[in-house]
Amino acid sequence: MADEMTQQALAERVGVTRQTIMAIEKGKYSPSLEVAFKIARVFGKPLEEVFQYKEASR
Amino acid sequence: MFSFREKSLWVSLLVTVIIASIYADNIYHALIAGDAVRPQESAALILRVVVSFIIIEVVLHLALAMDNQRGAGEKEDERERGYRLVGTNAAYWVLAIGVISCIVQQVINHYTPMESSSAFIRYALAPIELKLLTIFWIAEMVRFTTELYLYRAQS
Repeated sequence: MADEMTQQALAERVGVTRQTIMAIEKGKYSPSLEVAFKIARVFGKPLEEVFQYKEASR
Repeated sequence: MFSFREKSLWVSLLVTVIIASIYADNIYHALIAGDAVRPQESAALILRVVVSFIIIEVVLHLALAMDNQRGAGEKEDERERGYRLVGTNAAYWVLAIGVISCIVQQVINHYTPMESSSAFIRYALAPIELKLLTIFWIAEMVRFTTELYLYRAQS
């Protein structure tokens, strides 16, 4: 999916900055549900296919 | 690599540090010399510092916006808004504690006058507006550094 669209293009379609998309990709920032749904909609995929929740290791 | 808002924060932090240093230097020398700071002098100093701060901030931000026109036109997104709120919250505590300490100290000064024997006590006896402005600079620096820390830690 990442190969088909630039971070800038995705950012513009979702309404966030390119740096926010980069932070989401690196797992440094957890987006709000609204942004997560928008990203999933851009890719035409269900939310759980784009985002996975990982339990923090203790 | 850096977003427009992050660059803007670096500029604001830099300008604040420079202007606050000039301000602190002026205050420090006046207090060390043991001069009583008159209201006109403190008002003139505050005016000079605030006007210089505004002018430098506007000029540098204009230059930044001309360099990155697309970034300057972008709206703040949820991540940036979140960082701003955390930074503002941290600065609020500094400001609140500072202002309350200042008021308490003024009350103490009023009821138990102190001799200006050391630089520390001279600072304590400085006009309240000078101390409040110092607290404001510190709060601003806390706000900028907190936001910049979050930008760097989560990018």
